[in-house]
Amino acid sequence: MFFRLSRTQRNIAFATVLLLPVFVIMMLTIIAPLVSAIALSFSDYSLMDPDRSWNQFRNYTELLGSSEFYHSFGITLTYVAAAVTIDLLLGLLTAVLLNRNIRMRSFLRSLFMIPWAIPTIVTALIFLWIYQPDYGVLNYMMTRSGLMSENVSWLQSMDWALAAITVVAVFRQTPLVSVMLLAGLQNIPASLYEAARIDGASGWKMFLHVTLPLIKPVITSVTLIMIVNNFQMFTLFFTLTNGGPAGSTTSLAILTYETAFSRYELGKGSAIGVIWLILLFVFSVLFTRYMNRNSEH
Amino acid sequence: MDRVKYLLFRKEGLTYVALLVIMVGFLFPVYWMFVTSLQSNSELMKLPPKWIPFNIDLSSYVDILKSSVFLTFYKNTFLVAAGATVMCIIVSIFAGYALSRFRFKGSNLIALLLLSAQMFPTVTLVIGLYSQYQKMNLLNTLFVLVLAAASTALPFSVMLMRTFFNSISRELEEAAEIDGASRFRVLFTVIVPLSKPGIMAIAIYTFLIAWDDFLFGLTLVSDLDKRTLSPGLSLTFLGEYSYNWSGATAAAVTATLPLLIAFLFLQRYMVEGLTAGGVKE
Repeated sequence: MFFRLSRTQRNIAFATVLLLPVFVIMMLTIIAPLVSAIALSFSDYSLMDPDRSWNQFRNYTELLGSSEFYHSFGITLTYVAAAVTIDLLLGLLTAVLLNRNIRMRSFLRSLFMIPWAIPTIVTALIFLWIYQPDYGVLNYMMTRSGLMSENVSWLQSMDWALAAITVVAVFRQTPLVSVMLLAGLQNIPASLYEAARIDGASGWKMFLHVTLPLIKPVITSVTLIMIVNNFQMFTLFFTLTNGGPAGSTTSLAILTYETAFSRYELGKGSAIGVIWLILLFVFSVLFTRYMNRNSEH
Repeated sequence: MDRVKYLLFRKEGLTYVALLVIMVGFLFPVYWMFVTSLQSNSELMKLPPKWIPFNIDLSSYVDILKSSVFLTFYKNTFLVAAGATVMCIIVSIFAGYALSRFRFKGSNLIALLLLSAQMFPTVTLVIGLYSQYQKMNLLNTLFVLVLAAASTALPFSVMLMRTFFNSISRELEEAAEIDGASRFRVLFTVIVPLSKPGIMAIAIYTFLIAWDDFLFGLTLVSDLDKRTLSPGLSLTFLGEYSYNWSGATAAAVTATLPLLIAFLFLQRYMVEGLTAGGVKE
């Protein structure tokens, strides 16, 4: 006699088999390392001294009692706010322009996407050369046009380094933002614009009262994606300045990496990561709530 | 009437001017990379810079292609990206199909896990992964890089495949099942062929993510013969040899070409996929 399963049971069995690989991979690469990082954050574990015993929250009290952490958090916030704001404004402007009835529209759209297909490390390399103090093209253009009287070491300057990194991030991220917003713009029915035009709305008014409200959901999700991604930004900081000069670009990602892999204090590094995780979680809950409440009104 | 025409014309002109400025701003750095790679270092150390190079010198490319270290980086990156892409496609088809067709307690848990996984700081995960793989003796293998890249791309890919499968009618499967085909056969012979655009989108997405990886390659691998391009380029050209801009940009161009070619041919899928999976959640 055959062992027969009911239809529901067969469904569950099939779905379980299908979901098993993703579950195993997520366990191995997200859940297990997260749990072990949280566990490490309560110990003095380092590569020199693999002592995993509990250290009475010493990592946390040390971190929250020192200025290092707040300093890095502030730098990260400044960077994220600047990069995401410029990404969105420039991305929206380009999306609106590329949505107009212009010649060679699809060609221009693909051309604008190119920076996004370039690896981050290559972007960093290009800009290191552009920013190069003596032979870099930026200093040449700045001094030649009279905007600056002498060469600037962009990435070695306390005043300019963070701004210079932000420019590189904007260069690589804006095309992606623009494509996502463009998709939102294309979903707006032309009849709405017709109606607004008959009512005598000007171009700017149409943008404010028709375009913006309709692509708000897209803007919201793009904003959240860009905030989360930029909060994590490591490659550009590490390759362009490695946190310098004098800690003026030490973002949270750099601080965590430095603590764990240069000073070999894996326990303390994990503690930074855990605090960061909590902050990010609180933020995303607040952000989603705020956006939901706003769209209800 | 003339006034209206004038305004219209002028406004259109403004659109073109604005686009021109933006395009030049965003494409100049790419152009500059190509131009720099075609000149010798002694030429690069002369001012004013050559906006259009006339003394073309390809020796940096020759050096790059003769350098066994660079070719190893290249090969490793290719293996990791290809491996991660295959892994991610298979896992995303399975998971996306299950999440699209079946609803039960566990499925919501998986969906929630995937969505929140994107939020976790990679640097924190890397510390955990490092100590975990050290115990398992898996550091310095390309396999951990494949796994890490695949898992980075998975959340988006699974959600994209789910959205894609949602748009395929269930009647097709029901008809095939009545004919007695097994569940897996239905998935592979009926559903998968219909989902090619979605699969293409996640393939390109995963390949890009894997090719772009820097942090995992930097921390989980330290042997020179297991290095991938991003950390390899950073350690070769951004450190002590940072005067060799011709070589650095030639390496950069070589590292970018596969992506650029893939992008130019497969762009349509990528844009469709990104906007379907990334925006409508």
